[in-house]
Amino acid sequence: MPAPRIPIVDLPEQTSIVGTDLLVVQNGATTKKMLMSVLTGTGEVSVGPDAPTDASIELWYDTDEPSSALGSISGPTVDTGESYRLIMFSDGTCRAIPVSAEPPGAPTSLTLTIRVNSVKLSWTAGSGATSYRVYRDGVFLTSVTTTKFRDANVTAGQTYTYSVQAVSFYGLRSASTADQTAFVDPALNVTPYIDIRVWPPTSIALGNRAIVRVNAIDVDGQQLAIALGTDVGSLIATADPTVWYLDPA
Amino acid sequence: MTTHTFTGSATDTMGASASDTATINSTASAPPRKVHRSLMQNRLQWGSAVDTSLRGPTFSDAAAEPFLPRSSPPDAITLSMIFQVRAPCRFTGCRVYKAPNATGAISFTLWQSSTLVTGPTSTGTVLGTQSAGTWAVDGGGWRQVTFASPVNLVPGVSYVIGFRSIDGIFAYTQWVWNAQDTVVWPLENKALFEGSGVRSDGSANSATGTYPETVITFPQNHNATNYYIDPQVEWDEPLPGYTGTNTYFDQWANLSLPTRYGFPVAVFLADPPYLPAYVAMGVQMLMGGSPHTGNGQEYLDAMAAMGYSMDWWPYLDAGSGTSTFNPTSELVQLMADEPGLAAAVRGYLLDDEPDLVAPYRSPDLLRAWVNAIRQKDSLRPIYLGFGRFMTRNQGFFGMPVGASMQTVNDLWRQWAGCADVIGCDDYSWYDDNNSSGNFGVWAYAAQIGRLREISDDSKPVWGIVETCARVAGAPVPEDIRKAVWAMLIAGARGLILFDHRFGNDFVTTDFAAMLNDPPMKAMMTTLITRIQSLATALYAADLGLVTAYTSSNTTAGPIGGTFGVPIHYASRSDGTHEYVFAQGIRPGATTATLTIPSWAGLTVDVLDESRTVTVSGGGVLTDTFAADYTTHLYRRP
Repeated sequence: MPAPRIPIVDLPEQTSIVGTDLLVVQNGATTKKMLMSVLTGTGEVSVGPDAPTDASIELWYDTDEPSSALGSISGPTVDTGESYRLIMFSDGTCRAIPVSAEPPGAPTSLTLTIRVNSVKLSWTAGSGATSYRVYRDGVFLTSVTTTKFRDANVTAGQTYTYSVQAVSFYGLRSASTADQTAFVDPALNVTPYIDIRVWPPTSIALGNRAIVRVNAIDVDGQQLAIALGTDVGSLIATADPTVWYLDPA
Repeated sequence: MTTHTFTGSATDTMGASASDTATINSTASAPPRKVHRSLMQNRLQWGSAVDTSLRGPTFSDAAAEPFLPRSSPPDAITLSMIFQVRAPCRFTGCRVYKAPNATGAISFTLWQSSTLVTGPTSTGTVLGTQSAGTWAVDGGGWRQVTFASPVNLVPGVSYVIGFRSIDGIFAYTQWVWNAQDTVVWPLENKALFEGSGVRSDGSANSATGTYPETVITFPQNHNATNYYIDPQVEWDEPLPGYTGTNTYFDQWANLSLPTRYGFPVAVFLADPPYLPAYVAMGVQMLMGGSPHTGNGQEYLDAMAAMGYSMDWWPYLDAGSGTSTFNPTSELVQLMADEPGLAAAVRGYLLDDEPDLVAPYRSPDLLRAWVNAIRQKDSLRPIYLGFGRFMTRNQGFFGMPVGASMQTVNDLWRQWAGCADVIGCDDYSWYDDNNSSGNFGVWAYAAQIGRLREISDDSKPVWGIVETCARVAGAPVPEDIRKAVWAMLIAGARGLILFDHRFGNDFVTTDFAAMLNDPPMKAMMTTLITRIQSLATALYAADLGLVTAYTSSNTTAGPIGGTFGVPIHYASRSDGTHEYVFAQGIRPGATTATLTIPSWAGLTVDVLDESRTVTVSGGGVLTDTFAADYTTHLYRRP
């Protein structure tokens, strides 16, 4: 009598599997599958001492369609004698996490550096964290592996609230940082820098041309529109928007 | 004198704007810069190669035969070559190789052909003539023929330049010109049936020579495809050229090379963990490595950990070859957050070998990338590296269907126009496409020569050299030392070390080859120290102190035998001393004389050799170049 199929699409994030699924250990080298045990409600399984040291765990349906895998367990090599909690994530992946594994420490000191078109987040690492999840206005934004992130998708005049959550090697998550709020004030816009330079630097003969170069940068990273004029002679535009030739005649 | 005032503005997307002004004076008329070019210039300047079909004229098949009269009694013959130009320019003359026993009054004529392909049905209009004097039996060699009146040349017309040999003796070879046109912009020879030689003989020869209409096909004894006639042109270039010194980089606000670099020495795409070791041996810059992709954070962390003691020309393209090129914004903000990073980022690496990918990345695409960079940050110059085929003036890999050497050369020039500093990844000591073996040191000088050619000497050229053995035992450290000097003497104004050892074309097995090769590392560390001690001189414009040279090894002559050992040289000053750097630029030993009139009677130091050389009262410095590609560094006390 086949066991009922588990509707994985309805599984919420980080929900332990319960049910009557079969758990198998797959020998990566031979793809040989060995029946380990039957889960009966806790979502935990002990890997037997005879399991291959390079084994991984797969979660399988017990259906009349054998070979229909829910997905591979990502993460570490299975240690024999260890108990694992099986977690199916909403994206369809599943993981085997040692029962003894602890969530990472929460990141602290979330600091925002606000520019007119970006908000830079930096924070202090949480213990045991291997990555961080960044949330904006309570919505997941991105995952990063460093302790900083720049949100360049902001609109001047808007206010945003950020928080960060640490993630462990096994995918366990910490508590979030305290929310930090950023008002992207249009008044923060920094005036571009410009420095016009001519080469050769001092003088040219009438029959020659000078290169006039506009050195410009916007520390906010905005694209600049460049314009140049001269009182005597003519300027010849080039394919480079910051370079003109002076024809002095 | 007129003062020109420029007023410019930069406006961001939110409407904030700033402006600045600058001035320059124009003075009474002076002639524009003249750019000179000849079809054989690189081949002759840097020495020629074994494989003539692609890389230079061979003189190996020029035995006694071509120096003998064509018949008895001898008949006069007119020998010439046919060429076109790709842009308006002026024909100024030519070089010609005189056969040792060629004699008689010699006159050169430039014709315009009635058809684009010269042949029996074409006729020629004389555009100019010039006497080359009266030849006598001598050692033979190259002769300069300068026309008293330059002749204007225009695209789309075939020109024929030739001379009349009274006694029917001339130098020739069946090779030199490939089966396809060769372009040394704006000159291009017309490959007519695998050659460019055109002749006219028989009783119809007039005193000044008859228009040659007999196309020479290969192979034909005596007729051959090349008569060693090297047409020369010049044109006016109103834009400033680059002949040396750091003032070029004053165009950018963020670069102060003289104090920062001495002589720029970079490593290409080294991995972050190795950067401190390169800095410790005198390398100042990292070329490549992206702050945005892959291990970008590792680069940023490594730079910070080093206290930004290494400069960086990051690679901004994600390598996708697409037009989605906009990472500058993020880097600009990173630099705004971290002044140390802002000071370390000295320029940008635009692209790596756009001409060596399939399909090629078009100049239009690269211009779009330049625009994307400049509109975010125009404080920093942009570097572009070419693929190896540019050096050898060959190659259609990835090019459009139907591309010709004209097409490819035009593209190379356009790519060069996209960047402010250029280089070429031509690792000439080992080339898996060269079935006849490795190239050699001469190709490194040719690399610089070609880069200068395609950019019309308008921007700095940085030389690239591999600091690893790419095949077992080759190159060794001494080979690389010679290659570096070949590039410096040829006019390289910077040096980029390529330190990846390849397992094959597509697999890099060692990303820090030199660091794991103590002899190579020791040589390069010593060499960098020497280069920095000469930095001002190596960066300076050439003084032109050497007026002539001879080389005793004329095994080839340059005609006859194998190759001979030409000497190439540069003369510079650092404000305290004058220097002449000289190198035998072909394999073999030779004794050379360098005529340096201003050094007459002086005893000069030979750096790194613990010896001196006394220049004769006539200004002739004589020295032995004892081994392949021997280099001597002479310093006036």
